[in-house]
Amino acid sequence: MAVDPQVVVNIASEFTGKKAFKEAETATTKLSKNVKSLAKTLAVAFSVTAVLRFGRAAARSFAEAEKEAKLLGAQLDAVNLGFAAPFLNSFIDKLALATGIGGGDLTRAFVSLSQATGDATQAQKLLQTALDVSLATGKDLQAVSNGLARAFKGETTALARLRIGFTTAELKGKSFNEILELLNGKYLGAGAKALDTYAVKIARLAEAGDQAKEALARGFVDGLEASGMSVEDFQEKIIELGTQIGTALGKAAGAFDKFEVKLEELSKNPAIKLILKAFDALIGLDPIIGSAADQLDKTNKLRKKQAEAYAKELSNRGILLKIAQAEALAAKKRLNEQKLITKEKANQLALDKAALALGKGTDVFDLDKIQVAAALAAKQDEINKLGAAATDQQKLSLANDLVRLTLKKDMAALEDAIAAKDVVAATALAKKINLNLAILGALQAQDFKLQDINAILEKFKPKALIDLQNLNEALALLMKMAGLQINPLGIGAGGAVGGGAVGGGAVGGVAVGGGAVGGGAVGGGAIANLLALRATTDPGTGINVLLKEHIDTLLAQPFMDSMLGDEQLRLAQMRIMERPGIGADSGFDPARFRMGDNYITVNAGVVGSEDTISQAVQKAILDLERKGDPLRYTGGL
Amino acid sequence: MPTEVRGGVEARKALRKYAPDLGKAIQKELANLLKPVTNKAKGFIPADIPELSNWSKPVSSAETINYRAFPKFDAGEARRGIGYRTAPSKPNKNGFRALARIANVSAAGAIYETSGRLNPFGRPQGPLVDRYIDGVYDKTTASGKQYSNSLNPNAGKQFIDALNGTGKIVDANNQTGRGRRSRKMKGRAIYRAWAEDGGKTNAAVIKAIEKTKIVFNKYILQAVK
Repeated sequence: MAVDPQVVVNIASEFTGKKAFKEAETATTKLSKNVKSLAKTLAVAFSVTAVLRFGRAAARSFAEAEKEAKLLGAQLDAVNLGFAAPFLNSFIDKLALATGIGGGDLTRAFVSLSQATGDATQAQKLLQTALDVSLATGKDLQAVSNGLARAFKGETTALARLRIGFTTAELKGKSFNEILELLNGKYLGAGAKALDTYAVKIARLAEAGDQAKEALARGFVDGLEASGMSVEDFQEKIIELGTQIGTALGKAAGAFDKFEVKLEELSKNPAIKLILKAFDALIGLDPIIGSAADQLDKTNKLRKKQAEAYAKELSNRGILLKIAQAEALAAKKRLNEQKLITKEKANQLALDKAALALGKGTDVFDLDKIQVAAALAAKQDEINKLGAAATDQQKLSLANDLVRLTLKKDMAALEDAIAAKDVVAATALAKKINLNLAILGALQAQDFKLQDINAILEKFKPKALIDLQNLNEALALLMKMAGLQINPLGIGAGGAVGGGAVGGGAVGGVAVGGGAVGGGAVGGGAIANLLALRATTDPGTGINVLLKEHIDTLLAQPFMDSMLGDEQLRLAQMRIMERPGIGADSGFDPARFRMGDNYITVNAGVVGSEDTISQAVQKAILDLERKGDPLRYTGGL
Repeated sequence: MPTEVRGGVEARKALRKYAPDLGKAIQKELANLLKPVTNKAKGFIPADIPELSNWSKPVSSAETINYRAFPKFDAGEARRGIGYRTAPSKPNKNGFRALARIANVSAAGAIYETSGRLNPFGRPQGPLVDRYIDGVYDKTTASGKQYSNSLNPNAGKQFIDALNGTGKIVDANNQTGRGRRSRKMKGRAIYRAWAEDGGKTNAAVIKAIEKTKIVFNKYILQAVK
């Protein structure tokens, strides 16, 4: 049932050509069928229809060629290249013969390129490139030419969309000449290789046939006109001839029972053959390219070969398409790989940073170092607790342990310095280790004197800046320096200030006692020993600093003594010493001092109350604890 | 406005020639896509139209009239007339061929589908014109396809109102942008079903046709390996 076009939903449609063309095509097909059936009726051997068919094809080819030439001329005129039309027509014909690509396709491609470039020579070069690309990739020549034309104007998208192995990103930003170099680099000569294929050779032959058709038609028309006979006259002659033959055959057919058999016999009749040959000769086919029947056979064979070649070309296009797709995929993959590499680099950088942080963390949690530090702290605690009753053996053992632990600590530091390639630090640490090794060797050989051992131990002791002894000493010093008014009742005659040996007794002789400025001899031998020991150490090292401090203390002692002497002299000048109970030889008895009700006025600000002092001391200790700088370890202050 | 595709006809032809089974499978796939829309469209055909009971009665026989009578409304026939085609159509005057379509081929169904989309209030009465008859000029009513031929001036409106009582006219053209919209995508059954489908089937059919081309290319590639 017919479908009313008013009541139909067309879902997907395809443009297949105008109806008028279709009708024309249908009419032509019908005519061909009619002619063919007529030919069957009159026996295939009659070459009239075949000749007409060939003639019709030739005329059509000629018309198309004319149309192409006019198109080219018009387009070239539009870009002021009309003068080059004959030359370019010839160029395109030769190119068509060489490549097997239809002249129409080449013309359209050339027109696209010439419109873009406005230069015939440039367009010719680009056409060659387009041909190479088209033949190599199987892409439509027109599409490639359009892509090139657009690329010439700076739009590379169309070229990338051809999927000929270049992505938009690759083409973007490149000049046309660079793109052309890329294309030529990739496809130059590919066209020549493609021309060597069977399919293209067949196509070239077909193109030659098409041009032959055009030439035939052109030559025929020219020849006909040159002979003085118009095309219309010739048509009438042919029709008249056909009519006569038909009439004759009709009459002949009536005389036979089996028409077709008789027609075949008739076709084999030498006389009829002669007539047909004469007819062939009449329209100029024989003997140049054979009879129309022969030509038909050739045409059929050629078409068959073309069909086969087309099938093969289809397959090749499929393969080429696959290759192009694979290339595009590979390009995409490369891009992805590059992205991955970049990402990996970024990740590696992040990992390196993390590893650095981890390394720092490892340092914090390095068990060896922690254990060494803990052991050192423990030993230092032991040193702190070391009382007066400690034996030399204990002191020696502690000194030995401390030096060994310091050695272990320095070795770990040296390993780190070597790993970090810190030459300066490594050298310094190596020297320090050598020194410690020497000390250790000496300790183990028990060569050191007791005072030296004590000196070594002293180095590891925390600086007891704030303890009762220090405070007492500081207080005494402050009293002396500030010129205190000491109550005669409170201070017994002969009270001694100080008297404690500075330097653990090793220094010896630095005593202020019995009211006399003790000019005790500073242990010069001990200082000399310490100086000698210090000379073997490196400046800036821990042991070097400790030794220096100790030596300074010993060296400062006489100065302090002289200061005290000066102070006493000043007190004497102030006649303070003349007061009862006070004199240069009056001794200070702390026991008596504590037992008595002594009132001391200290003009020293906060040092006005014992509570204040004790609170200040407590506060100072608590502050130090809070700041993480406890007094329990060496170096706490 | 149908979507334009390229190479669909050739691919279908090639499949039918070289891989008939594959070609049939694809046609079946298209049919499965189109069937729900046609079933829906059939559902929009009413069993009867109450105010137009006479439309369902038999019309004059061919013996009594020499023109094609106004077709009788038969709900069953109208429903059966709604169907789909998956074979490419003939080219229209502009050279386009539909690769798949839904059609209402029943005459009464087509009337039900489209009545009122050009003239929502029925065809107007012809104006009075001077006409020369038997030597004298007389006033007479103009006649023609564009005018109502009924003596009842409201005949067209009543007919369309009755149809509107059973189903409304829906515009299936959902195109946006510039330009005038054609009325030719309006209707009560298939266009309504198409509009309510919202383009899903259209997209699926286009995809299937594109797939046909891909399948054919793969087939060719396999064949040449």
